Amino acid sequence: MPRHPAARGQPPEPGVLILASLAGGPKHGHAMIADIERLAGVHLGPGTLYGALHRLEERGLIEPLPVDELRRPYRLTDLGRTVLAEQLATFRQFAEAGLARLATS
Amino acid sequence: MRRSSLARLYPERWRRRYGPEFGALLEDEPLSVSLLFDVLCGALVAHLTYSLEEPLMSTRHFRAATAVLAIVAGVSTLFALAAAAAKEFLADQAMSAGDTPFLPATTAWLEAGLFVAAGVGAALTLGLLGLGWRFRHKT
Repeated sequence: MPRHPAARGQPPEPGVLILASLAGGPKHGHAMIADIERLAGVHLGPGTLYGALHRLEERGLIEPLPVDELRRPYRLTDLGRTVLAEQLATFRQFAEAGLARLATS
Repeated sequence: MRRSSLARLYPERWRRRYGPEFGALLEDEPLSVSLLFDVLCGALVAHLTYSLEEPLMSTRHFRAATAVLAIVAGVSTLFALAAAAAKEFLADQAMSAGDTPFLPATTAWLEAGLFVAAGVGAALTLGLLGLGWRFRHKT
């Protein structure tokens, strides 16, 4: 048996994890890290988090909100919501196909 | 050392945008080897990203540097050709006089050095032209 849940398979890329976290409402960096840890069992480091936030913001998938005591919350844009829905639908389709094969083998 | 000072590893433009919030987040995280590694990798990616997005120098500086390097390469090549011709001339004269051709070692070293300088200058000029071509729409 793998010793760590992450060893069972690669977690989704940080961008998808962030989008999924922000689907629950706007969050700042620290809240995102804690939420993603609860949601997927993955701890994103600050460097990884802000690298992904920069890319998502550049692509217009998230947008920053006004700073609150040095902490800036981010929220999903409409485009981000659409992209996340497409990604999750792909995951679901893949998971269902894989599980169906496992059941018949 | 304050953990927020790790933000200094990032490019200045990145820090202007994300610096304060990133620093505040770093202060919330416990200091560890994995944190340092994560921030170091993030800074490296940010530097690479910004260096690909921004021109390395202005068009004016780029043209001046290319011109200087082209002149250096051209002059070095001329000197090298002149040195090679002088060597042949001296060798022919020595042979016709019945002497053993003798050339001082410094002449050979000078010739080789000038050839190397010409090669390096030409390579740098080509490199600069390549960079200029790559960033031609960004200046």
